[in-house]
Amino acid sequence: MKRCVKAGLATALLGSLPFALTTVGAQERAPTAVNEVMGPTENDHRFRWMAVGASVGAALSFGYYHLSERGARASSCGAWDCALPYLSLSGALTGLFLSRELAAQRRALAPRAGDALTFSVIKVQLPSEAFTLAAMDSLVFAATDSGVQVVRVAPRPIALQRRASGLSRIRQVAVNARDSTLLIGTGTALWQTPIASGRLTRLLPGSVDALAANDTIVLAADGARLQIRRQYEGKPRVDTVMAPSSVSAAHFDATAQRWWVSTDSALYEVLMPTAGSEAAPVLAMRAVTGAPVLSLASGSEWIAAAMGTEGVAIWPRESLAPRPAGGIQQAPWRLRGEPRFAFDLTFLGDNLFVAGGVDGVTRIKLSPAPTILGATRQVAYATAIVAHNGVLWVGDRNGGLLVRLIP
Amino acid sequence: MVCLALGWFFSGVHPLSAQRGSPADTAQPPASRRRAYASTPQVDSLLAAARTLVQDGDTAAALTILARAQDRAPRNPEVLYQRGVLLARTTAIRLGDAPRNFVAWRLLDRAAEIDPGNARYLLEIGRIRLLTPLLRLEAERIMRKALRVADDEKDQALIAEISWEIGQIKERRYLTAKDRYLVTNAGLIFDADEAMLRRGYTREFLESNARPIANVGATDRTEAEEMYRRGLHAVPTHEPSALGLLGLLYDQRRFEEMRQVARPLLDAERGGSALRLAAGLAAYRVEDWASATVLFDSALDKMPSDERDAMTNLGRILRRRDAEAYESLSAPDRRLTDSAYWEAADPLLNTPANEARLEYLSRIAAAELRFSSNDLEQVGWRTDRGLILVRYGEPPVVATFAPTSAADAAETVGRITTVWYYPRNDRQFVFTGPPAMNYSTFAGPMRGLAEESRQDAPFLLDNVASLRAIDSIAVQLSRFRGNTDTTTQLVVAHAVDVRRLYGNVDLAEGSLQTTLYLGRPLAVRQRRRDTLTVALPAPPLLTNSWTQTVGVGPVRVRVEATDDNVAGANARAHLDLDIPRARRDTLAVSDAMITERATSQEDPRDGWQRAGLVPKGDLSIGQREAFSVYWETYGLRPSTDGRLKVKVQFRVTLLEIDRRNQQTAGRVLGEVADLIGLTKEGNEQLAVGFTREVPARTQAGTDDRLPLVNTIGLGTAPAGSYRLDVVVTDLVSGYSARTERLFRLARQ
Repeated sequence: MKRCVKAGLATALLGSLPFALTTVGAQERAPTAVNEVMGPTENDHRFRWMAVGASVGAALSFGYYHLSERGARASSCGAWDCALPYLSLSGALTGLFLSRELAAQRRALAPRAGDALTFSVIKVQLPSEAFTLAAMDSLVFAATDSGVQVVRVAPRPIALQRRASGLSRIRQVAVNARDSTLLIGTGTALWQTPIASGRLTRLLPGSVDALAANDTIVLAADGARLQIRRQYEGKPRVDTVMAPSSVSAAHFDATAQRWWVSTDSALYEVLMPTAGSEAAPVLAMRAVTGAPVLSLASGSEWIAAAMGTEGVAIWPRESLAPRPAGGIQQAPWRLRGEPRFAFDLTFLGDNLFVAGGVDGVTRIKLSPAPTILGATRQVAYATAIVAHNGVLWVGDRNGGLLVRLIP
Repeated sequence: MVCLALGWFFSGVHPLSAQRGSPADTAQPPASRRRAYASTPQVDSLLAAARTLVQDGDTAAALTILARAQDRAPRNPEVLYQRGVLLARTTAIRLGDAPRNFVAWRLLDRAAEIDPGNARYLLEIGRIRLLTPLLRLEAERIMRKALRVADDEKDQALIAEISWEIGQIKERRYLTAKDRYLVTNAGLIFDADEAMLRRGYTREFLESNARPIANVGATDRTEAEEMYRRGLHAVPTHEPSALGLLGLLYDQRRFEEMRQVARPLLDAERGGSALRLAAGLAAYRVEDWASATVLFDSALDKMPSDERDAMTNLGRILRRRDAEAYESLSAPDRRLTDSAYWEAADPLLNTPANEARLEYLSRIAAAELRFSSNDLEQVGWRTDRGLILVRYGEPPVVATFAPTSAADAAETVGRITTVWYYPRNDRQFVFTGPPAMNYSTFAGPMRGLAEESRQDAPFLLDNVASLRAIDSIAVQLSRFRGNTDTTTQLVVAHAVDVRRLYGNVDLAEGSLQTTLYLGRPLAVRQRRRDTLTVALPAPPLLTNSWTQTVGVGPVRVRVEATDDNVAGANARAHLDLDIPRARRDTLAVSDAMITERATSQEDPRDGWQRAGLVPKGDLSIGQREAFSVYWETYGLRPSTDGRLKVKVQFRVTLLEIDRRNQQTAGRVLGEVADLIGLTKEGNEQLAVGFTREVPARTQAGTDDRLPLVNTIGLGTAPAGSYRLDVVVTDLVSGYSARTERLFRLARQ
């Protein structure tokens, strides 16, 4: 019997061996490392679980002893010499497997860098997946295939009316606060409409792959063609600037009042002529990205780009100046591995939040140097994100949800 | 077995085929270790001879040579390895092959003992475990050991290969648990027979007796993904790892990531047909039709012709009888049929892509990506699940049930039951298969149900929203004789329901493009395109007509109306008709063209346009509304006094009364009354006749043509569908000819 128990335990330990040998040691919170393996392995508490299982087994054997008339049942398994070791061993093995399974589940859900974060969450149902988000005052706008859903943010988020219903391939949305109009980019044109009600009018022809707007200036990209609509002598004027390759993202940096666009390989600044000037805008390359940029964002001191599987690139703003300090342009911070695919990003205070698809929303602390603090999986499939009034609004592809996160 | 070995050899997996082998097999151990064991020229020559024999396909002789080499050098790991691998690869997953696998394992084990720093041996031992029933479970442990050795040796090719193998093990476990439902009523099992016999059984069972288990299999899926990523990190162009990863990403609808994973391989011109299919599938899912078309076509180009023909064979999406006829065609005829089929299936010629064909290829690609199995040599789209997926698309509801021990349900014992449910038309299919094998076949009687379903609907595209949203355009086609016997003037009058097309869109105005495509099947060309600005809210109907000259023979007509700015603003009409050669020796009548009521007094002999006739595209006339009928009679003989004399008879027959505004009971009673002849259905609502006499024209080619127009009204005739018969009798020759036209009397 003892031999049998030993053999069983040996088998159990042998079974756990590959697991033990293949676990990865705890990773440092290294911000810029490419991490190709799974996140930090937590202790699977196997011995604790085995002890619990064995105890349960032993308790069962006590029960068995009492129920079987003090173990006196003839020609059956005795309480102490059979049921106790059998049930204890079974319990220990069950505990072992349980510990392994639970640890594997924790590992599967853990971020590859940083901690698992939890935020306050409220979800609002959208008609379908949100491709981009925009915010103004107490409203959030989600561009979906079924129109632009307007959501009132306070006191509790409530979906209001839907604008631009029926337009095809709505992919971009921006708000012009100056005249309270919505700018909606589709696969065929850029449209404008009052926020509350009214019909759409076509503002610019051509597919809109990237869109940014501020005050009287609207910047829309159709492939490599940039169309910039602005006021000149009181009338709208459209300038066309050709980028070296397809433009995939556009952004207005409100802090520095600068315009940015990015292509599949570089980041450009759009130098707007001064008001009243007849000159056309000019593109000036500021940094090489080496990969297509899906989204751009700016904070108080930083410019950041979401680049899909290439992760996130972050530049200090002064390093993207036409003449950087010291004449040397600083290489960007590159964060890859967590999330595995960066869809969109936004700044909130001194933090950068990245919509990382199935990896949820990743929080990156920027000062003194970019560091991944962790990620929350409360958003099942984060594809769009915008920060507004201290909260995050995230588009969740799973179920077509708009999720409010309060960090 | 020889075939198996040959296939394996030529796939480049066997180390003897090192020149074209996968990176893992071509990788050599480091030089410091390579000569740790002795080899003699004799042994080397035997290895070379074995290599030649394998290349020639004679694995049995190669094994004999390798056995001889082993006798001479029993501690040469290369010999042990080659023999072990060749033995192992000529077996399949079955108990009968266990002894052969055991010998192979012993040989490889000895090789690993002699040369412990070579992960190839452990990798092959792991593969043998995968081929051995029961011991299959141990494969992961050995593979992980191999991975550690490869890591120590920094052998990137082997790391990629082993990571992929472990990823496969994990993925199979994930696929086993995926979509798992828990049966909430103890003792109840999903009954495939009942599902076949009783409509609604599957829906009821899933709603009342089972509930899905959230996140099941996620752990294995995550581990599999990490392993594939590790393989790609080691060798960025390792296609098996890329394919494994693409499959997992596809399951989670991570299409953008799929595209980025595939890109390095495509950029490096390394992707084979399977990878291109997967990349095309990702492009299709993000609605990049152009890239999807290019990738699918390049995938087909990269396939051997027989495989390509099999994959694009329409037989599986035709009814059985049609499929048999299709299979009997010669190869060129089959290709022509394929082209004609897809041209007809293309929902909109206005768009550059053929969405129907793309959907078909995407289904093939999805089946290939998710149901293919390397160790079972299973081709995804040829499986039972692949067949159903290709016919009906991806099922909106998938449920799997764990194996049972119920004696009265033998098929579920030790087997996973997979249910595919299509709620839109309450269609269901049930499959069973062993766990952790990614292998499933129709459960019990389901093959018969699949055949029945095929007869009912061999190919459905109702899962594609953009295809569902295509409206129809009412068209009235009228054929009039052209200037020669071989030409015909075809009048294509159409009516687009603009209000339905634009719905409640917020636009101030729409930009509607109406296009006419015309030509022989497979050679349809755009003939006309009009762009109309539509002030919104839109008027109910937009009518227009085009006149085109066509030749004799089959003609395909497509009318399309689209507004690219508006989702769902797509409509089309597709008609095939035959244009006969004109015969001048007999009396003939053209099509009767129903038009708005003629208001002009112009002689129609100068052309119906000049007579101010407006054809009714929708062939719909309001109750109490008068309308005109225009037709041409050919082959009339002039009388001796140079006049054409005809007698015309109009008959309008009520075919079916429109009872859509009546309650169900009223409709039923009305239909009963129709049957016993109490209503006007089947009655002639109008029968008028008149004669007309006009002077014959003398210009060549026009002397026998008599265009006529007549206005009629149906008074208080009930709304419904009608047939108009026009019978023309030449009072000179005594011959008669007739034509007919169906139309609808709409309720006011």
